[in-house]
Amino acid sequence: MAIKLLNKLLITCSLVLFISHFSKAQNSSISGKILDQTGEPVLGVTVKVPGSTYGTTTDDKGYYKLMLPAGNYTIEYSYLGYTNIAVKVNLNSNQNLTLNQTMREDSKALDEAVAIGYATKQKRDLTGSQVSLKGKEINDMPAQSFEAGIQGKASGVQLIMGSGLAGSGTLIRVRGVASLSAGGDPLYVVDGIPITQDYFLNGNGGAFNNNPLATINPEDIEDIQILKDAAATSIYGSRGSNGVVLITTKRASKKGLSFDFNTRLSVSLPTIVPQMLNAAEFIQLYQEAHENDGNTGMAILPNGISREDGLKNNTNWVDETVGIGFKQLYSLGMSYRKKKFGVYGNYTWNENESFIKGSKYRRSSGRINADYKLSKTLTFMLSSSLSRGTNYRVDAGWSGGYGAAISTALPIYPIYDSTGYSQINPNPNRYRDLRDWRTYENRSINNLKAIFTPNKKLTVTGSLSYDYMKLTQDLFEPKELINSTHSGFGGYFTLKVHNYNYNVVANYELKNNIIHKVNVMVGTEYQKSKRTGDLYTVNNVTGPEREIGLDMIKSISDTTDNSYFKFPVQYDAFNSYFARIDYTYKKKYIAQLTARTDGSSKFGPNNRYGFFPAVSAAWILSDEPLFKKYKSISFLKLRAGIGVTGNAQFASNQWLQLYTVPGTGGVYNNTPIVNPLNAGNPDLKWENSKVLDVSLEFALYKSRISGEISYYNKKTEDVLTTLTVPPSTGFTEYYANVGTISNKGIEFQIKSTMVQRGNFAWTTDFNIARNYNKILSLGIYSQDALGGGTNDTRVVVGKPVGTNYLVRFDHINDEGRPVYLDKDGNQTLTWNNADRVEVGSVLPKAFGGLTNDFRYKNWSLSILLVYKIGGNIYNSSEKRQNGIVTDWNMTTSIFDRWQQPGDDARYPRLTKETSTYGLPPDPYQNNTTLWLYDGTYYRVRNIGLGYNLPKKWFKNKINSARVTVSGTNLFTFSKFKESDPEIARDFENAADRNMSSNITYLTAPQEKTYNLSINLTF
Amino acid sequence: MKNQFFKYSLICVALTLIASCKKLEFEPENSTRAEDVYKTKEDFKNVLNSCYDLFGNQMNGTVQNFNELLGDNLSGIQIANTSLEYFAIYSRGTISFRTGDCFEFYQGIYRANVLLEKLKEQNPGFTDTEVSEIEAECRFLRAWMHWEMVKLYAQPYDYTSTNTHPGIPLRLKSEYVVEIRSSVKEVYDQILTDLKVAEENLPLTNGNYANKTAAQALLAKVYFQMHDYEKAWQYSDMALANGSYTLSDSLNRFAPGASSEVIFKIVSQLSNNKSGILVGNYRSDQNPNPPFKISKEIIDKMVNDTTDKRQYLYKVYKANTAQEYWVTNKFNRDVFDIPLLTLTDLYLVRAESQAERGNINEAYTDLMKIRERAHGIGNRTFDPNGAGVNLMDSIRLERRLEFIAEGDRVQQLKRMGSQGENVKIRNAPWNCPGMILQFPASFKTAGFEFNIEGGCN
Repeated sequence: MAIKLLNKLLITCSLVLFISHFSKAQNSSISGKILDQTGEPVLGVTVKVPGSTYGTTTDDKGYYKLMLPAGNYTIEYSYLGYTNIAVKVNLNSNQNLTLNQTMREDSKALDEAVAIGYATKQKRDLTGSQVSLKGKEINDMPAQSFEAGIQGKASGVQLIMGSGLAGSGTLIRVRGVASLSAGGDPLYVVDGIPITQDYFLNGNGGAFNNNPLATINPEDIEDIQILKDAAATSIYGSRGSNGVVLITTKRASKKGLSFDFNTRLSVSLPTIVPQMLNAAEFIQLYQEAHENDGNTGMAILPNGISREDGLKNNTNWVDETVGIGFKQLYSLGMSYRKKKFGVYGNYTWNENESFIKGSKYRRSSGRINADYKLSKTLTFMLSSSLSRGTNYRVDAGWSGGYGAAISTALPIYPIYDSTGYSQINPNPNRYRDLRDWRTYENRSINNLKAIFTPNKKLTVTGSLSYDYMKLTQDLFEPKELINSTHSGFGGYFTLKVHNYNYNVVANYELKNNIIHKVNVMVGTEYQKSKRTGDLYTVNNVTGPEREIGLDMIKSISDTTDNSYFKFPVQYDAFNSYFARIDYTYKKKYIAQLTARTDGSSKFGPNNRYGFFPAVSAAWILSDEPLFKKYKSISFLKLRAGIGVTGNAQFASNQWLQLYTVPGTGGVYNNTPIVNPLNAGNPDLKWENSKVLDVSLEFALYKSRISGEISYYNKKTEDVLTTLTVPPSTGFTEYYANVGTISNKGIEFQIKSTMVQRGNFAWTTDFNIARNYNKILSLGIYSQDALGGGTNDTRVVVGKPVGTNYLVRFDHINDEGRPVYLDKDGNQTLTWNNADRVEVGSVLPKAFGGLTNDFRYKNWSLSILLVYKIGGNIYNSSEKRQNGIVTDWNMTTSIFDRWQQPGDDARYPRLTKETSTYGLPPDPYQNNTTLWLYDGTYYRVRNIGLGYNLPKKWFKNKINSARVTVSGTNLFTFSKFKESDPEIARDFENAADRNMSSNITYLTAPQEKTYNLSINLTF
Repeated sequence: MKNQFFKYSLICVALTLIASCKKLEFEPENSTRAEDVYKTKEDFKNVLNSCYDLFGNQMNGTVQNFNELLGDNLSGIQIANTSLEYFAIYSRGTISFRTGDCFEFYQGIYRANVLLEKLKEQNPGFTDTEVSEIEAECRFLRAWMHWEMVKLYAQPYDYTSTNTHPGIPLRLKSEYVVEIRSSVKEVYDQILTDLKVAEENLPLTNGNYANKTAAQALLAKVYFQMHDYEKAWQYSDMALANGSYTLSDSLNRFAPGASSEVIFKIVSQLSNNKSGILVGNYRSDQNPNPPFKISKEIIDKMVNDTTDKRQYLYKVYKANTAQEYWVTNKFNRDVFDIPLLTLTDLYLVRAESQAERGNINEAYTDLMKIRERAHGIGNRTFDPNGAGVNLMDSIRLERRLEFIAEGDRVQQLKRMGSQGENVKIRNAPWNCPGMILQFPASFKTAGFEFNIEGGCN
């Protein structure tokens, strides 16, 4: 009822809005009544002449009338959820033609086949939880890499953008975090190949994690499927625990030859710039701290800078490190299909400059996807891509650059002195300008598939893949930078990952009649990845070597000056057998059974194989007679699944103890070094998750409203963890299976067509998810054994993975000193390590997104809002900026400090003595809730206004031409004002990535971009 | 038909591939399994070489800096503005490290223990002498590594009369078992046991590795620290009797060509640079403002003595202003070896031991060897038996001036304090809790006793 009223209201509105347009006097007309299959009138059907401005909609009784001049027309009837109708008419002068139509429900959306892992399946028949996104949906805004486009569009998929540094990665968590030291990222599968996805190839050099997805060209992506529950992921068995992202690349679709050309020009700015003190303010506050501590006279400024020099220097380091970045993208695609042969090709060149001066990522990538039908029974498909990424590197975070600009680069320090660059450290300009630092990434992902269909029932697919990745660092520091009297320094490393995969899958349709449909799939897969690496440190170079010089360096024999290391070769192999049985009864009862057994080289002979079964079922309620009488229900499906998945995303060869061998580099006293590399744990086994998922899919009011609500419960056992051991054992840590983690949650997604009238349409897509994460047990170990450590987050039983573990700051007393709470809640002036408690949550209470799309004639407007509700931000660097006054600059927030009794201030009185705050001498210990903020934010992630240029402008030589202006991250609403509230800092390792996503430590903010895009197809 | 054949062959090939190549275990490349390591003499020597390398990774300035920061040779003002970790040690408060510490020593001890065990298990063609030499080198390194840690993490020998105060975990087996702290007595006893075996079996010459003289020199230093001046004299005397080493004229043992007096050193090359930490903190020619500056109090002792040529190893900046500071030139090169056992040290150990034993003239002779090198022959001589002369003070001053920035000073002060002298280190008692470092939390196990913190202000 409500919907009908809404419709009426909207019709009235649209009529008022567009009346002038439609009421041009015409002397002929077409009119009629539109009914659905049940004979009910359909309201709001668009009736138009494509390519013209003639159009109208049906009223609430299904009637329409279209005034037209005489002529030949194609009349198109369209309505969401129904198949379009097109009718050719010849309309004479003054003729009143009656055209009644019956519209049929369009089941296309549900009949669409989507990738599910080694096969495709109709959406309607899915029994697992999975989100489908089109390439277009994720590629509608500029992003560091493709996965950024998923944000806010898939319920239960939390996505945190990396910083504004060029080439930085994102952090994706599907249905929470279920791992500690093993990777918590989903498995990425491109055209059937589980690709190399190590975020720590480069470690954390320069406070930057390499993004393994950066070389994948977003322009190539046809669609993305995100598999969430065990029913969907268990076909990937041991690697499905954290979800699976299936990426399908574009192939030739239409017959004939077509091209598309896209370009995008953008400017990049920071979303927020921290306000640091200038020289005069710094000197004044430094002096205030000096005097507060009972000192008299003038304080000696850091590095012995005099006041006069300091004031004269007055360097704004933020301005020195932050500017405007320019981005450009050019992409040319080609598609050709003729009978048996089809080919799609694309070349894209993309330069992505960050607002951080000197930071730039350039990507050049080509792809060819071809298929050839050799005979009726045999088809070959080739997918091949070649990319080259060049990352122009700068220091960030703790490593310097922008990080130094907001910390230890004081405004009193000069950039230059009489000898050139000032050597008062840090001098971000000196490092950025003198150092030549690049990383190159070469990547090629290739797959050849043979599809053999001897008869209608059997399909056998053989697939052979090769994913190659080479990461090269070229770092050159001239001698004036490193203060050497010898010569410059070169740091080069090359890492190569060869990832081979082959699988054979047979699919047999056992039965297919009206009542029963049974499909059986069996398959086997083998994957081997080989990783090699060399590191050269060269002390006798005079300039950057680029890649060409690297081979020369490799031949260096001078081990007195230079050193090299050949990293132990890492082999990772998986051997798998899997099967899936799909059964559909009367098209409305669906069951699916999957099982996979995986063997992995990561485990010793005792625990090498794991078994990962799943069973799931779906019931299409809307096909039951009981529901058929409810006309408002277009589709209703209940599904449930239970299964086991695993995770083995952790370092290789940890089950055995390895030693280095002579000749791989280590030399002392001109003699080779041989030493143990790890402790070795032969008892390592799979981390496994038991997952339950129950979901209800619905579509209402002729599918104008559709959505899904899901509940899941995932219990992860034998969690892979690096156990900290007393250093006296000769080791600091080793891998072991420890503990149990629970993830439970609810997801909700709703799409609706708010308005669909004539030339105007308004659709929305809203999703929200809530995850409850809890560590249930750590086995026999204490939380100390599991450390946490980095970033002051901890592993605590009964709390989520990654808990801010801090001393509670209570208030400022009348002496301006901070008062803390001890473990029992008593007030104390002494900060004590033992008084730390679990106070902050890394994980949000809820997160999601809202998309609003408006279309009017050739115009479109799309607005994406993303949000995160709850959770905390721990502004770790602020404990140094606005804590004890040291050699760090302060932010202007410090103006709100205690100065005299009676002051109600945000920060205690300024001091240089840690004892004033009751701290030990190390000001880094200042971990209190004073730096803990509410992590809630709402962000207008993207606004895009597009216009499709009329074809006639191009005399129909162009199929479509579209111009879009857009802006990303234009508005952000958050209580956290110190920096950007969306944080994925640089991480030390996978554990840090799992546990510390809410910590900011000199992290660069996100970027705000303004873009102009042009898309042409011809 | 042809087509059919093609298809089926393809399937056959694919199936064969699947059956044959599904390997899950790989022979390591550029690495080897632990069980395959100890097969040849070379293998043993290479692992032993890694123990020296690790020892060098800690004696590369890391240990020296910790000691200097606890002592009184550095100027504190600037330290606060450079490294917080260093400042925390300098302030002698809670000193629990976030990053660097010196527990790589335990990795070295683990390797030495594995070697000692493997030597017993298998003998890949060693002669008995070779076996005992390798054992001697392992024990030499194990003893020294334990000693450096016990000096930093425990109160000194004779802090209690029974020396039952907590030392450090003593590791004598490679087996993974958690060890709590042994007493200082147990640690020193084991150090002496190891060093005596080493002294007995080490060869007279051994390239840049440990030799018999090095073991004697180290024994002399350990006994000296234990206030056993009789043994300290005996072992220093033995080492000095060797004759293969001569006191060099250079006042900077870190300069090239000064190695004739070096009995044991850490070998440093640009490719494996063990001098980086010292260079980074002290080098003053390329960067006139290095993090570590030398205390004015010690500088004055040299600059006020016009004949002391050692003062040219130091340089002043911003002289006569509030910002005046002194830096050292000792480490102004890209790379240099780190001398750890030298004749200078041994002469001064012998001098002080002789003085403690009442042999004034012998002590004076040794002292003058060092003093005359610094001041020129015939300068600064005195009558050691003269009235009002404090020979001991002279020897101690010479030691202090010789080893600035080398981490020696604070342990001497602790030695003096623990033998009952009234010693203050930057106004704090030598035995206040903050004078030793704290163990990191990762040591926490049942029964592990952590150090008391602070208490020095």
